[in-house]
Amino acid sequence: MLNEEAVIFLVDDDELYLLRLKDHLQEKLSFKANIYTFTSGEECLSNLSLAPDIIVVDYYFNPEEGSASEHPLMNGIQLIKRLKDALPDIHLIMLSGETDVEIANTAIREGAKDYIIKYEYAPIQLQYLINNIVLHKMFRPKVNYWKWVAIGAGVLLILIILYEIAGKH
Amino acid sequence: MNDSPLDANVVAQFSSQQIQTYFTLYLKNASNLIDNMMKDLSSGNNEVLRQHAHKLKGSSMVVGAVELKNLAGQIEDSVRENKPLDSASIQQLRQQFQVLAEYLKKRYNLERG
Repeated sequence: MLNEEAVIFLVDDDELYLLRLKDHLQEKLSFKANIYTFTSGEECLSNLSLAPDIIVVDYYFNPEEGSASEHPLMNGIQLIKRLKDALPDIHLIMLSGETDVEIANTAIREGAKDYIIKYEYAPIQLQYLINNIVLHKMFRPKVNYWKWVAIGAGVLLILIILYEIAGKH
Repeated sequence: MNDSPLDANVVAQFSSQQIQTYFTLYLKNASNLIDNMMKDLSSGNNEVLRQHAHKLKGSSMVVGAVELKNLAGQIEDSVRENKPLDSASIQQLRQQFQVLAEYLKKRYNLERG
């Protein structure tokens, strides 16, 4: 993600909520992001080739009118489970109007790293959370860089010692 | 005296283009949801009724329709707690929606889709 745009998925059956959330994040995030919106878990799963860094998932997904009994949609917990299996390193956030603590606990147990309750200022809370996640990921390559520098220095030191030993014989 | 059915702090965050887009979508979706809730009540499909109320609560929150958000939330809670619910609650929701639709028509020249 260091030199690329972050890819963010927003998954919610409320078209209006998705639109508002996408507009807010595009205006306010402190980095460039490609934000994709999906109105069902099924649609989200069929687009994983877009390589998302962060996925924000609602809990309830109401099926379209007339299809409720024939094709029940997976809920947010089921989606999180499927996403965690498919992409173990993904950062999953549940954003739901559901205040039941048991649902929040289950979401975290199944792989969500954060749970945000939908209220008036949830888009701002999500904006700060995503900024922090991306900032953290941007610094991670630097840590890896210094790890490899240390390993390289160690190998070089061993080679110098071996050379010195060989030179004495 | 403020007679707006909308939370001014929420609407202040929207551009004029967003006001048109959000409220046009809201009027269409909320009207459908209220119709569906009435049907759910008639057919005794409480779980679907609760989900429709939950969705209306979320959409109303996005656009700052405070009274509609509160009414939808009360219906959602009543169904969850197995409290008796009659059509008056949903009629009250519909009346409040009509107040909002009239306000949007006057203030932003928005029509119901």
